[in-house]
Amino acid sequence: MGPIWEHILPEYITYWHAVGIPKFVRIFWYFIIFELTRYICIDFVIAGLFKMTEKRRAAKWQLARAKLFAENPLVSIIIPGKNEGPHLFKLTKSLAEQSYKNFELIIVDDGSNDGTPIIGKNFQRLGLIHTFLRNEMRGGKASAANLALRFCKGKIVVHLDADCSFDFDAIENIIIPFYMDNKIGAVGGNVKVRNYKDSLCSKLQAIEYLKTVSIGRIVTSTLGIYKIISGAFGAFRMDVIDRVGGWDIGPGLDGDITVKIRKSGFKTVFSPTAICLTNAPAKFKILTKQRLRWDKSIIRFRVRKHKDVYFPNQGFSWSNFFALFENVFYNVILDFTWWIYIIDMTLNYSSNLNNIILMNLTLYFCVGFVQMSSIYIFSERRKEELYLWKYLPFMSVYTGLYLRLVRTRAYIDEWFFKKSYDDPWNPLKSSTQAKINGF
Amino acid sequence: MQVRNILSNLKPEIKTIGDLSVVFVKDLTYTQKLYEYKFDAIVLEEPSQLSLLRKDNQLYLFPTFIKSNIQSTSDGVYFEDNPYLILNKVNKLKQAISQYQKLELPDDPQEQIIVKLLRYLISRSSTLLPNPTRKSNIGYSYALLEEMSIESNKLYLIKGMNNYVKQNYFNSKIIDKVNLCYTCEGSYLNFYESCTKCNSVDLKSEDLIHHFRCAYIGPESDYMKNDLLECPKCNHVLKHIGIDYDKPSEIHTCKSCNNASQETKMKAKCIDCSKENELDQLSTHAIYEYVPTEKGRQKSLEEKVSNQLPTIHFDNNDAVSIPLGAYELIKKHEIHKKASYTNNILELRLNVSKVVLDKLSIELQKSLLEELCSIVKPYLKAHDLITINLNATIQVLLIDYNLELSDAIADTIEYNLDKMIRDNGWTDQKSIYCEMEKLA
Ligand SMILES: [Zn+2]
Ligand SMILES: [Zn+2]
Ligand SMILES: [Zn+2]
Repeated sequence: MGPIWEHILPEYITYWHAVGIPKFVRIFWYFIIFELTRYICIDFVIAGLFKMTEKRRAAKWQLARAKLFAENPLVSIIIPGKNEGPHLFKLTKSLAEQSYKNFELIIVDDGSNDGTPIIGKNFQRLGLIHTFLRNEMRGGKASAANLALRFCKGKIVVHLDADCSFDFDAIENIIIPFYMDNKIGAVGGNVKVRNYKDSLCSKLQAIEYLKTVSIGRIVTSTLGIYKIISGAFGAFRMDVIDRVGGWDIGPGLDGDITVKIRKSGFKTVFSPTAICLTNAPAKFKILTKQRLRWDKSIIRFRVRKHKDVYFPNQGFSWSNFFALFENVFYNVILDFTWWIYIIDMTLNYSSNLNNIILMNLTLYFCVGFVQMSSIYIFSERRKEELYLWKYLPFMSVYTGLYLRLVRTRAYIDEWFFKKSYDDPWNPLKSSTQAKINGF
Repeated sequence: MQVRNILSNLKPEIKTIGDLSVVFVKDLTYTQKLYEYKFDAIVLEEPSQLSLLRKDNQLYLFPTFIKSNIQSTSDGVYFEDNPYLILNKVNKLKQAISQYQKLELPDDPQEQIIVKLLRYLISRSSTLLPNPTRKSNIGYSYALLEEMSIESNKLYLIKGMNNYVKQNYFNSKIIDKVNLCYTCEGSYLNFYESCTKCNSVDLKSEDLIHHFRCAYIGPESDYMKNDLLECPKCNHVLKHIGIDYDKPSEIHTCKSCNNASQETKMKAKCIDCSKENELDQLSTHAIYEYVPTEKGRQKSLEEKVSNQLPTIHFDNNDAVSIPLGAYELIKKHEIHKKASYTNNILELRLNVSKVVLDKLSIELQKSLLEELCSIVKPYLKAHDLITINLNATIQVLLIDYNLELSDAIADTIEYNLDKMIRDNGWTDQKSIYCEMEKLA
């Protein structure tokens, strides 16, 4: 038997027996104020509402579906990217299985330096893709997507990542919402992790995606403050995206276009049944890089570029305010509050840190299970996802510590040094211009 | 007047220039008599006569001059006011051709041409060079070879030459490659870009412009405003390529169907037959310069092998298809020894209807004829011969047949070939015409 059972555990239990409720709240203020309210109270209330309205929504959905198939509009699927050639065959296969058939496939090769142009041109000749476009010089994801836009003939544009695959009804389910409400300008798809068996890293991301991407977005969508349409799978009304001038320079252009659409007076919603599987980074090193980029974009776009939504001006809207504020609050503000919490604990409770850390882990662990059960209610892949439950204990460290540290690093880099402009994700020429112009 | 002209043509005018006698010829058609005279060089009044001269087996090697200064296969120009200029050259050539004087040419027409060609080139220390010319359908001509040969299809000639390269009589040096029309083998092609969707040639091609600061991308015309480039998305004026914008690719907009595409379909329209070729329909042929080799030099010096048949291996029980030259030779030979047969020697000629042939490119015609030959073979005896002549006729030499049998065979063959062609859907009319000639 280790020291845990002989020494620490009994002490831990007696300690918490002795602490009264007021002191408990004092010590775990961070958890109680922020985590518990958000993940338990809000999520469950919304989930409950969502369940309750299920019948009405289903009827509305069926009606919209009937309208969609009656009109059968052309949908333009666009896939901008660099060196994506090797994914194309699988992708065309996955799309050929779709229940919605009236679509054109437009691939933009953004300055690839591998066999992509050859593969693309061949596929175009074979009729597997309708239009293959190539920029000899890389222009970045935004310009590639804008080029595709130019060639789209459809009424609705669906933006995909080449390494994704789709449920057979994914395209149908991502465009049905447009037929439910004509103020809807964009719909986000439900992105899940395909390679969750690869490594611990991908397993934890799979759980994280389930929590934030699936559940989190149902909640924000229901509240009308849904603000990130994933670049991996999103649908846009052609006239709306035209009106906002297409995509602007990234990184984080997924979130950016959503905000632009919302600002122009359209709604953005989440379609939980439009399911897309993507490969998540299997190594923490790559994941860290990806997250640094995403987190920097929150500062760059949500805080800097679109700061006007926080001020009462002409186009002010409460839902846009909350959409961005929720995002900034739960990411940026809470991240710094967490550091305050850590400082508070080290200064005031340094003798009991052992017990406090252990208790925090316990709390997060319990919340994780409770949350997972709410996911279980919604998911259409329950059985497969049960596999992930046993990895839940790691989530306390993953979201509680790892993601926080990465986020902090990203915020500091971006806030003080505007590091996102040095990201090779964009070509230097674009970043330079973006920096000069303060985008 | 007319009569006197012809008479004057008949009588060649012979002049002595220095120590040489030179014959002046107006029209070679009436000049059989030339053989009776002795001379060292020929001056042709008409350069077009060169072609007749080269076909003539006794005259082709003579130092030959023409009076006008045009490109030709002659040995040079004869100037009336300065006749002595040719002396030097004639003397040199006399020496060079003396080695061939006693040698006869082979009987086989094709062999004849190659030996003539070799002798000519070697005596002139020259090579067979292709001349670019609009007058040739393939864009090049081999003037000397064409003058010597009765064959006018340039691709056949090239194929023949390449065969001699394989046999090491020549080395070849590639000079060019030509792309030829699928239907007529013409090289006079007009290349143009057309719409991938509707084939229209009414395309507007523009550069795409990518504006860095706002990621807008669109054709140049989107940006055109008062002689300036101004971004339609962010209203900034584009000033400096590479700094605030670039042109990553091109875009073609079809004015007739409005299709915008980065690709165009390249087509080649044949000026001669109006066929709009896809690029991969064009047939590509290499054009070579041919240089006689040492083996070629030996060949040019070969004594005529009289009456000896080319060796042909009859290694199965089918009749054999052989080149036209060999066929004609064996035919002569067989007629000659008809006494050794009890029955007749007959020639069966199978003509494919023009309706069918016109539908096919030269290449396809050839493969059709070859296929027909392979159908004919099983009906024949092992020593019978088949060849394809230049008029796309299959000639079959039936040796030692009685008339009853040969008629039966001819009927069967005609019926089967006709059926095969009709089954292929090339025509629904009679497609094979059959003639039989009793040779001996
Ligand atoms: Zn032609
Ligand atoms: Zn067109
Ligand atoms: Zn611009």
